Amino acid sequence: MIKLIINRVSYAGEFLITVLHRGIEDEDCSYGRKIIKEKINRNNLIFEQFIVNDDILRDLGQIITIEEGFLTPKDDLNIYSNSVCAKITRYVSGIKPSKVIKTLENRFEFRLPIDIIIQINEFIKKYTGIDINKNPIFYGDTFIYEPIAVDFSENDRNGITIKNLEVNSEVIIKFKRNGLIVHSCKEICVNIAQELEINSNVEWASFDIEVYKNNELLYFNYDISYMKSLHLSMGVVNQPKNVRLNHLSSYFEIPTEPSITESIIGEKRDFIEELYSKSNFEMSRQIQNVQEEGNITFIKPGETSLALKMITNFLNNHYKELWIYDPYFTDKSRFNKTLDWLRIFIELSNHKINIVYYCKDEDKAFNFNSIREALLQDKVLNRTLHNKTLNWTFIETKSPIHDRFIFGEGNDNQFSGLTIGTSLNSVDTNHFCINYINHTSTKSILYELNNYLNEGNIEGQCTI
Amino acid sequence: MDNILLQNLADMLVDNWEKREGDIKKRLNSLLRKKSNKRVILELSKAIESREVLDKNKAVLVTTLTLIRRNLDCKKEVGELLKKYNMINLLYGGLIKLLNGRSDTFKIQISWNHNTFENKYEFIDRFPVPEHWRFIDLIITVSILIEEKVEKFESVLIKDHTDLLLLNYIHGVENWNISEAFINNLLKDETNALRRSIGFYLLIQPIERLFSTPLETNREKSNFKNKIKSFIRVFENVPLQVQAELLINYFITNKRVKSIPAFLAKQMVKMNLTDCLVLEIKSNKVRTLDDIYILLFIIKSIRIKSQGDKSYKNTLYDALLKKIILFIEENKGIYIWDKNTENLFAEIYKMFPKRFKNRLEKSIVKTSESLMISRLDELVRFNLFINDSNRAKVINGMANTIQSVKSK
Repeated sequence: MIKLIINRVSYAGEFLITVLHRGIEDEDCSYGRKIIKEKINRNNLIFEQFIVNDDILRDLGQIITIEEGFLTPKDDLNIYSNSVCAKITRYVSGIKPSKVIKTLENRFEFRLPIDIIIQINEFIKKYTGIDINKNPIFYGDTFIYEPIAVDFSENDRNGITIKNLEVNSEVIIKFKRNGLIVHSCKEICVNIAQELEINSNVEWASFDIEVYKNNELLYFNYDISYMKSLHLSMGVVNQPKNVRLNHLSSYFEIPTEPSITESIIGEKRDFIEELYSKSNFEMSRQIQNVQEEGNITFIKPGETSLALKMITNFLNNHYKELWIYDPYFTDKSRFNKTLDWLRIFIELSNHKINIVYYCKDEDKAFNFNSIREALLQDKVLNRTLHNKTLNWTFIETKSPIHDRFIFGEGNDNQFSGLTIGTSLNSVDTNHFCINYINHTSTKSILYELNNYLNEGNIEGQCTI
Repeated sequence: MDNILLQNLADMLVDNWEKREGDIKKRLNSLLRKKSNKRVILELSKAIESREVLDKNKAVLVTTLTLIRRNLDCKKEVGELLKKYNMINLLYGGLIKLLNGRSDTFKIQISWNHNTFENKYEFIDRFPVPEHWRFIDLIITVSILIEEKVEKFESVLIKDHTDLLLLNYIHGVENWNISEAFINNLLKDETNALRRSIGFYLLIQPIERLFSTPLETNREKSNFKNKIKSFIRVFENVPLQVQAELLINYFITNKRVKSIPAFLAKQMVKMNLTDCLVLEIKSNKVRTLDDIYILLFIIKSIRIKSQGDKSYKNTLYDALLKKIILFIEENKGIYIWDKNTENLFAEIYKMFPKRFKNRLEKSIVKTSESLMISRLDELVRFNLFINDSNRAKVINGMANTIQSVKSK
């Protein structure tokens, strides 16, 4: 019967994750029961710690498979700190906690809103060490962890001293510098309580260490280095310059340049080495800057097909709802091009399209009363409208929203968007940029704009 | 002396308050064409009589401020000149206009940092005469009113909504016999806690000054007793929660002095004050072991003479105990453990009655068990481990101190 320390988190009465620790012994701590509770969404999130026997492994419920292995200190799954390796066993559960995870025929999904999930995961990370954000599939699983530590440190003979090794342990060290392995060495620990010293005859900056016991890997860590110097750069900033303004604001502050001092603590780097290293970095950065791809595309007149391609590729994604913000969409002078766009929209598999536009002058642009009539003038649209009902809403605003946006909400509630520097009916005649917007930004911009519309800024609307 | 000149002077003075100009004296002097005080005021008086100036109150104020800013030592001369030409009332009128804050261009703007001080008395004690040199022209100008019309002087201080003048005048002014009505006005202010503490400061100052002098003659002793009597008379007229607020403020600010005035301590250990005191103790004013010590010391030391229910002292002990337990359980108030803290804690422990001692011990044991300082915590919850290791030093220190006190 081996004693294990259990760390377990449960939510609304279901176990979310169980971590068992083996081989941890304390002089002064007897690991009495500890409980921490937090209330999230009206349910209790509970962390428990207490001692169990290993017969708990017999009642784990439905297990799909067991994964076992070894983790180095740098691996994501290693929850231990202090450069400790770990042996890990994962019991993959077939049953997921139903209050958190929906089990469907061909996949698992979250049952709770994402922000609640994130709160729960923070709690789990804080008390068990497991980062479920990266692996939500871990919900319901059981883990056994066992820490393995080796006592080693830098000595003053340009090497490493390892203490408290068992007899017949082997140690392999590779010393590295500037991307090269400059010295390597393998030693066997012969006597009990021997301090093993492995020194290098060359300068080194970092090292890898492996320890084997009875030909089995006991410990492995790589790229270990010790801090030899600290280069501090400090700036002191004076009061900012104040510019008195008339309209935009009362004052505008321009921060002044800081005056910088530098100081070095510890060994100073070799001058030539530093010069080479800095120049190398600067020169390679120049090359990188040129090769970098941005997410802004600049369109000139004559590159209309590129613009069309980008926009239609975007529109072709499976969106259940689209919003198009384009103040001059209904301009009469370019309405033919608008009709072209509307023909493209018909072919899309989208369900709902909202077009937000502005009408300054009824002579120059169609308003929400005249737009339907205007659309029916087009043969293609006319035919389509007689055959099926589209789900298009034309929303006219009281004052123009300047920037042009296309936002889409997908079936999986993921948002994405484009900003286009010119109206859709002028993509062939202007210089402008097209820029992609990610999920979080799209969602928040759309939220703000829709709030603005709902606050009484709609002149009128018409649904087709 | 015309409106344009006055406007220029006013703008210059206000700009100087906002951002100090090194050569303000020279510039004012050149605007005044280097005329003497006598000549300037004479011209002003003529301009007022001939109705050339639009706003005579503001004109007198601006002129006075200018003359004083030009030469900070000429207050006496300027005061006499204003009196001679009957401009003191106009000066008063101008000050009221400046200080009521309604003008956009002619007002004083100060952002104090006393919002971070819940204990306003501590603020007054720590920062005497704030912004003194920035507004020195205004402060000296206002003092002209003391000799002529004390009621107008006090009225200006009250009408100054920035409290600048109050904060600058309470630390000793010549010739100002502070009226009891003025102090009452400050103490009874319902919205401005700073003013209440200022009122208390003015009330206790004359008595505090006598603390350090030895009272030898009978006359000196009876004088002292009378001063205390009149203090108590004014003080007990103040609402109970204000009494509690002011006493707690005072004792916490003065927690390190060697002795406490007994009459003041007796004021705090009154039954009708208990509930208000509990609220004050719960607040953030009581933040460290020092604060708890001084309050506990006073409550313990004062004997209750009157008959009736003496258990109200226990209510106060309970409030103080709850505060220490808050420190322990929520990691506040005590951050390092050294010889001083140890001694302080030992004294506090000794002063509590027995059942409070037991509750304190229980809380320490309970918190000690919940700390995350095991090897597993070090490996898996390193941040919490570091925090709790520091707390463990404090908590173990407390537990050891209690043990050693018990064993003696």
